[in-house]
This record gives sequence, C-alpha cells and structure tokens, in this order.
Amino acid sequence: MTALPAPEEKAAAVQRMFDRIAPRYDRMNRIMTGRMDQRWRRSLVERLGIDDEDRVLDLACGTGDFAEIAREHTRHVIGLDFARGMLHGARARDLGAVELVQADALRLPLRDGSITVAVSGFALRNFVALPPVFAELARVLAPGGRIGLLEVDRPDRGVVRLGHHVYFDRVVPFVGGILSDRSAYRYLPQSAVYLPDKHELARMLRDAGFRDIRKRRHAMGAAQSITAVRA
Amino acid sequence: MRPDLMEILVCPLCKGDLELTATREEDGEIIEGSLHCAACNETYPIEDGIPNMLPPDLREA
Repeated sequence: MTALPAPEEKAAAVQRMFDRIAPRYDRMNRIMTGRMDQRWRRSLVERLGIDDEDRVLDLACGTGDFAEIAREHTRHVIGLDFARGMLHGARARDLGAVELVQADALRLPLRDGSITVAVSGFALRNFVALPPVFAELARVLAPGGRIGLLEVDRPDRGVVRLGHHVYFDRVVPFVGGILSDRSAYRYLPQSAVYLPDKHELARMLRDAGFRDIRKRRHAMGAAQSITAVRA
Repeated sequence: MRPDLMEILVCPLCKGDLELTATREEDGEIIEGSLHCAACNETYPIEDGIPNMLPPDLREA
C-alpha cells in the first residue's frame, strides 16, 4: 500500500505533514540515523569551504540543522522553508543570527545572484519536480556559487540493500509510528522513489547551469551528498 | 528578520523590490510588519520575526 500522495496533492500534503511532525522532527532524525545525519551535514559544509564572505541559503531548512552548522563559518545564513511549524522549531533553537523565511522553493523571494552557497538536507524527494528547483537555485546563486545536497540513497549491493530495505521500510515506519506520526514515517522512506538516479540527477543539474557535479555516498549507500558549482 | 535582509529579499512573483513596513521591532529585529510589492499589489506579512513570502496561492494551504 502506498503512502505517497497523488501528484497534484503532493505540495500541500507534504507541507501539512511537515507542520504536523515539526515538534519531534530533530529528535526523530537523530534516532533514525544514529546521529549520522549531522555528521554528513558537517562533512558537506566543510567540503563546500564556507567562509565569512559567503551568504548561505539552507533550502527547506526544517528546524535549521544545516543552518546551525553553516553559521559556525559565516554570519550570513538564511533558512528557508514552506512549513511554518518547522521555522518556529528553528526559531526555538538558539541559531544565532540565522534569518528565517517562509517561502516556496519554486518561487524564491531572493534577488538574482544574491547567494554564494546553497545547501539542502533530505528535501529533494519532497519537491514536486526537481528541474524547476535547480533552475531557481541557479538563478539566486552568483556565478561560481556552490551547492551541497544531502539525500537518502538506495544501496546497490545485495545484503546491504536488504538490510536497508528492512530498516527503512519496516523499522523506520514502526518506530516513527510510536514516537511521532505513523503516516508521515510511512511516507518518508517511500518518498525515495521520487529521486532520479545519479545520471539523471547530474543531467538535471547540468541543464540548470551547474558544472563540476560530484556525488559521494555515505553509510554504504544509505545516503548521498552531491556538490556542484554554478557555471 | 533584520532590516539588512532587504538587500536580497524580493517579491517571489515578479522578483521586484519590496517596501518594508515595521510595526514592532525588538533589538534591531523586525518582529511584526509587512512587505509590499507595488508591481503585483501583493502584501507579505512578517509575524514572529519570520516573513511569509509564500505566493498567495500557497499561503492558506
């Protein structure tokens, strides 16, 4: 049985779901990944070489996990999300001078070329379509600007793939159902089917105006991080 | 939001400049107010220090 909403319903359904699970979202992510998610974010921020000259956009920032780490490297960090519940969660954390903005990734309220780094954690699969999101990122990034995208992935080796399937398709919905919201934690693992394979993703990024596209896998393929440079 | 965010904030629809009205400020931060796009005749509210820049069709979703 699918936990995925109909295509025309996806944006509104995802917004409602994230508003619903916002209060326990950080704690759930830490539990589900054994705290590895923050290590992957930190590693990606370091690879992007963020310094105080940079203005960083955390796209679909949730409660501000990426923004918090980026803030250690620059004073200019904007956390943007379309679920207000998540932004209230971010505000409740002590994130320093991170600016929070409620907005739609397809229609960013940011000036052309006003950002030098954009990061996004575990959000790609929640967008209705990726090419228009990448096009908006390319618009707001200055030439030479960098992106860092963190996402789930599907391992391609047999035993690891089986373990991954059992964990994300059985354990995560079960534990999520007990500690948070059952339907949300059935949706989240299944939503990985929205992700294109690495060749398709690279093509989408190239078409949007990015170059030097690199992918790195984490936890034996359970997660991936992608970096690219705005041409 | 801090006033210097205005340097990069634009209307999500036409990407044009916005006019800021602050009705409550604390420690240099705008807590309540609005951002108006004259070209689109659209107003975006600022509540709890967070501007709501969702396009009108998504605002009540």
